[in-house]
Amino acid sequence: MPFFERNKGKIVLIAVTVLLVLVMALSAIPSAKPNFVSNAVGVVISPVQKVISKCITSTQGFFSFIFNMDKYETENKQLAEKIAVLEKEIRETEELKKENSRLRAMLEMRERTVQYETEAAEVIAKEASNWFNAFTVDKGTADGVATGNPVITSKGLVGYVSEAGTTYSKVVSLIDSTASVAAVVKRTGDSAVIEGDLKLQEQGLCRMVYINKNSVITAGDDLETSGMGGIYPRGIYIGKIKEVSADGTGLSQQAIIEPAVNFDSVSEVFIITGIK
Amino acid sequence: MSTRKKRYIISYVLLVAAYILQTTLVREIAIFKVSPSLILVSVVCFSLVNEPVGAAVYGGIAGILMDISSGRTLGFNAVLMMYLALLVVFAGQEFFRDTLRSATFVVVLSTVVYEVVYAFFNFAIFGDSSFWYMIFRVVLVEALYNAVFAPFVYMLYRRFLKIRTGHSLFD
Repeated sequence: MPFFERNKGKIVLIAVTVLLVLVMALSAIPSAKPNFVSNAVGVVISPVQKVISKCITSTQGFFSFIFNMDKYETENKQLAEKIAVLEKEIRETEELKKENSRLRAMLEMRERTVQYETEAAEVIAKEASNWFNAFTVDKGTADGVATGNPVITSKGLVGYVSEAGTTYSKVVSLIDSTASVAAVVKRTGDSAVIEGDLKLQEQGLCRMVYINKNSVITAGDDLETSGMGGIYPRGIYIGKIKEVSADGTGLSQQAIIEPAVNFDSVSEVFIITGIK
Repeated sequence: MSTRKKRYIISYVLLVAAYILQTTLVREIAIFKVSPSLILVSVVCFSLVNEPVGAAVYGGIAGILMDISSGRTLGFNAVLMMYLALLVVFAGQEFFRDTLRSATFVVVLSTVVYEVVYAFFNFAIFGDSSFWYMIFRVVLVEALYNAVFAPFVYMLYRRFLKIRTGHSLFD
């Protein structure tokens, strides 16, 4: 086989390229489970990433404490006052909730508030490339996490689980250029789609598109998930509108959104694994 | 164990170390929200001191690690890294002088080529209007940042792989 012997290297290279393209095609098929290679690497490497992340967080925390001790004392006093105010508001809210439930029961209406089952997780690694905004957390299918689970913090929506391995999960953030969320403006009820943008991503922002051109939304309006689209349940706070403008076609409006979550400093999240 | 096997084991340990550092510590030292790519620097430095088949396999495996870190299409970075490694080997045979300056230049050039191709297939091809802005904003910053790490990584590979060419790296 003189042809094969002469061109062995090129033939092997072409064969490997074709194989990798097939792997790409197969991995592009949506699946609830990660592929074996990803899961195996993730299970082995994620504990190491977790240890290193903890070391980094501890070191940052130590130096931050040293340099900001005065600030912490003032902040502590302010937070204590704020807690007292919030506790009073909680008591008032509890009374209103009870009254709301009682009135709904009288009118035979179902409860609207939803309680979620959540799994707390720590961010242990971030995406290797500079083009996307995704990270790895230390919980996986062994902890009840599944692909597609929404991810939140106490401030609001973070993103969703794109891949759930046995002991880790990959989370695509809201501002990632491939992410999108069905949202609603709380004040006006207008629905639109929030999607990531490559340019806005680096500023920690995203954009809202397909807004009705007659909508009266304005900067400062709050946004939450609308429940449409199948991934995010209704009512999760997303952030505020920063700026509104007409889109290029003039048929609708678009807006720049400032998420409530600061994606540069996310370290702990809650993964919504179910509804109570 | 043969010297060749030892070299490969050391190289892959360095690659895994680069991957772990890339996804943890390195992301914390971003400048203008851009962090260096230790994996890419490692692949280029390995390819500069190795033969084509070994470099292509190394690049392919490094690419798979990058695909795994993102949770996106498996194989995309693997194909790009494999061909980048081969390009570096063959171009290096013609043009590369075994000095730190030369290695740094190859790393910078490789970063620009790799990231432009990556961005083209992920964004430009779908009509993303911010493609050119991001080329200047991300690629050039990353290339310069990689240039800072290139000399150290290259010296590391030469040291651990015990490559000696009989002249100074600082010529």
